Amino acid sequence: MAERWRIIPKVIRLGSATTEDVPDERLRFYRNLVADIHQGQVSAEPSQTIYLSFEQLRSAWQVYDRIIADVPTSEDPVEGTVVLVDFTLSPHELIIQTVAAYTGKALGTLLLTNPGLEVLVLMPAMGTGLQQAFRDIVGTDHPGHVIIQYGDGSRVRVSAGQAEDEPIQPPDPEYTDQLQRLNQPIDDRLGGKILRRLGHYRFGSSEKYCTRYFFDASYAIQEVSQLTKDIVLEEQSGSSGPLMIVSHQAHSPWLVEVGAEVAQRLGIRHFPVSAGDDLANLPTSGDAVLLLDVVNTGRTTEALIGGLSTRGLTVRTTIIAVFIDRERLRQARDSFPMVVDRRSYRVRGVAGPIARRKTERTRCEQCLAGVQPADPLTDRPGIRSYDMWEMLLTHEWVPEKYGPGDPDQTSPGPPRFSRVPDFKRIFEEYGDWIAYKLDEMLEATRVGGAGVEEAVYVCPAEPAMNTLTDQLKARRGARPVAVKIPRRILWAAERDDFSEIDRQADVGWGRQLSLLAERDSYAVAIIDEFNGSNTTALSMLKILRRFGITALAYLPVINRNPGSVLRLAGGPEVPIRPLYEIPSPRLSELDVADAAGGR
Amino acid sequence: MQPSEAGVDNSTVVREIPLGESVDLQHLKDVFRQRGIRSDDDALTLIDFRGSRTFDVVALLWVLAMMGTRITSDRLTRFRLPVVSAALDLLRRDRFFEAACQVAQAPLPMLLHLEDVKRVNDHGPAAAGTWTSGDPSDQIVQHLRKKRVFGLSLYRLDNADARTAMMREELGRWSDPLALALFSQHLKGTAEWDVARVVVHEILANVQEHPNASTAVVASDMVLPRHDVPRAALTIAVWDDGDSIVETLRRGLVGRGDVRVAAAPATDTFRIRREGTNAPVADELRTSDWTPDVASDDRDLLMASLLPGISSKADDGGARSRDRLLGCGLYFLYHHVIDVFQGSLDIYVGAIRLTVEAEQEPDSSAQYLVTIREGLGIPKIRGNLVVARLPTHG
Repeated sequence: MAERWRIIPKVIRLGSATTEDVPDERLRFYRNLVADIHQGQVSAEPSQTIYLSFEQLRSAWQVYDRIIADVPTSEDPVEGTVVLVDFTLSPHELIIQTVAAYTGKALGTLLLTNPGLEVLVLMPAMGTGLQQAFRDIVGTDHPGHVIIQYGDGSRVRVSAGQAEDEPIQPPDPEYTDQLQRLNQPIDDRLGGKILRRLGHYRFGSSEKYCTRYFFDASYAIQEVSQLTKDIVLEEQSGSSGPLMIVSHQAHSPWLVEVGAEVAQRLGIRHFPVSAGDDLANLPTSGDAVLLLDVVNTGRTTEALIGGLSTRGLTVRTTIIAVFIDRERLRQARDSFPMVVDRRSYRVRGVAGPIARRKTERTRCEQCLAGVQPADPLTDRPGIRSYDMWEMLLTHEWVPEKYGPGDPDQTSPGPPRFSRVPDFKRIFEEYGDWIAYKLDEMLEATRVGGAGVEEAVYVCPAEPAMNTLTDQLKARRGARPVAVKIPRRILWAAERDDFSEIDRQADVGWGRQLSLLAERDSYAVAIIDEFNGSNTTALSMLKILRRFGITALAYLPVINRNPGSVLRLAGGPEVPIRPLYEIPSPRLSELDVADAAGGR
Repeated sequence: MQPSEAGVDNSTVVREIPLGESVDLQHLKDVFRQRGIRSDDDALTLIDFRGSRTFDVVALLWVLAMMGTRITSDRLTRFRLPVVSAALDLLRRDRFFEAACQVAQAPLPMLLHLEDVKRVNDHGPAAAGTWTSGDPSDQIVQHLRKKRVFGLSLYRLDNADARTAMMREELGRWSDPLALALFSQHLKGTAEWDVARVVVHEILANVQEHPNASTAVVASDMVLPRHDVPRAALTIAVWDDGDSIVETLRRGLVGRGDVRVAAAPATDTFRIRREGTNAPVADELRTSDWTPDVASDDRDLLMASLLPGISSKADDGGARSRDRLLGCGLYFLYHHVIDVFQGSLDIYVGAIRLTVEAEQEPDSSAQYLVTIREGLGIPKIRGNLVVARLPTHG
């Protein structure tokens, strides 16, 4: 038996537009997992994901090639090799039979040529054709086997000589938790998908107050359902009779889906009620868990408890609210007590506490200026002036630290602004909403254009944009892909120097673009925090052109150079679709040329 | 191809097909057979839904397929609307009229009897259903119909991007968390993801292999098991107007002499039962390594399309030749539909219907029963219609 083990990760990311680095954290997870199976020291090779774009699913044989590639045929008695195939980053619905079968064939082929190899496959708990294909290739008289670790932590050994998989480890919730934390903890996922819309909104049905924020969990139904289900399960175990869910959705039509899904999964009944319903459709006896979208003052909750009790139902003392106003929670993190008709209840929140910035309408600047609070579900693309300037003025403005123009003066480019908004901090605070607005703008740009392609965002690799692209990905379950181009590459492109670009065509961002160029079913959009002179955008366009990629649009958060046309010589005009415009451009390139003595 | 108004004056012969209260596929076929309806009938065919109250989506899909078959040779089909408003709402809910307009490439008034045009314009959309019942399964089925997960969806297949978009949209629909919750409770096995991952994927991958297909219509519905429902199932069906599976395999055979592109293990055994107007023939056993030849008839070719490693696609030495799983789509499909979901698969091509299901005969050495029916007086349809039926349980 080998003394130490080297893992060759094969992380399969189906439906992804291009490849990405496998993070160290993931490699560490693999090392721990393999150490659990094999004695000895374990190392893991740095690696990039194996991807098949959506359209490439039709040529699933590519998975075979990519699994086979770069696996050394070593017979080293001291260092063993573990090929670890990880499907847990792929959407379940894309793990199609041909992909599974080619994986089985590839693993069988590897074992035939390299009998000392160990193989571990991580995949969701589902029955695929992987085993059959593996056994077909290897044949019954071969001792080879692979181990499959399912998402529920159970482990089976698949031997070529045996028709059935052999269970070697029962389900292990600990592993499921670890994997979920690795792939993204549910709280993070939920947090990333909850949208805090900045605007001027009505506060419930109140005429007295308005709010600056509306919290929208409609993109997080899955996560809300999962967490709600856990709470209802706890209630179910403490309940003698059958339970029902009564959901009340004031401003969140999606809550009905949460109620129905949880009830379906748990095999119980669900009754949705809306404001003003007379509850006549509800049963007249039984235990009810009350599920609400938001609890502010608690008055609606009290009225509901009263109504349900009058109807004859016993309202469980745990009440579930997706959102709870921070004011109600005071010091508590996620629940608060309330007493109705001398009975004690506890309201438990699913998502974190929310602060909606409630104002009396008689003191609200916007109300005083005659702007009526709006319905949050009727937002329009772009950002309102009031909202944009609030964001811009929240934090101190800072000198422009990065941008066009090489700092070592080999190519000065247009001058920097002396002060710019601190976009990194703005994105940390408002990035979820701004990212949503960018998505929305891209969608609006695509109306009438080509179908439903996945978006790929190209931007400079800089701190503010890193923050924003993380938020872009969070709401959409790690999609879409972002390609981040280092500033020195953008500087080089400014002076039409493509030497390093060509050298980097096979690594990192360069490889992402090379792979992207092979297909055209992706909508490539350029994004940036602001546009001062089109210089950075032109650099990005040049780089894209170098790879043979056409950009669909340029979406700066702020366009300080409105009315300008973005186009490379001989290329098509790329529409500029900013979220907001402030006419305050950098000096034009002509001005710069003049300043540099007619260069 | 726009149907022209010119040919539809008063002198036009009209063939009326009154359908009964319950429009299901069996009933539809019985009526068509009894009345000797043919898809190449030059008379204006008037499909009369006036007495109808309930509709099976596969029957509606079949009507669309026949309509699409007729329109390619400029033959017209029109509809009379149900008298009962609730029934008209059902057709609207399933998006039957939108699909019909797209298949016919004509505005709705041209597809209706004159008397009905006014009605359809006057008739407002149905009120949104309320979630009053406490049964989450009922709520979810209603909701998924409203969300258009169930019903009819039409796709144009003009280019590769459009085909990819169809797949993307359909896989998205069938991964809806509510749909998954429903499947987890009511389908056999514990394979809620397999509806999208295998059934929907393979059924649509199959459509993409059909040359000259310009349109695909996906029809689906889920009937929950209740004491008064005989065959409760999740049904997913797709019709495309491309060259039929039989035609393409025939072309491959004539062109290359062989359609077996990969050796297959003889792992599956089928009992083949033939029904039709010809003299009865004894059932035959066949294994999955069977290969058709130029002498094989259409029924044999259709049967062969199920087998792994059979494809009309040539090994062209290019990328395709890397594909060692070429011709396995329907193989993956029937395996999952039958072995995992305990359901059945139907393929309609021309006037042939092939059904594959689990063998029930205890003495048989076959795992699967294939029934091939032809010549029963059912009008021919163009293209391919594939229907997966996954039974539901309580």
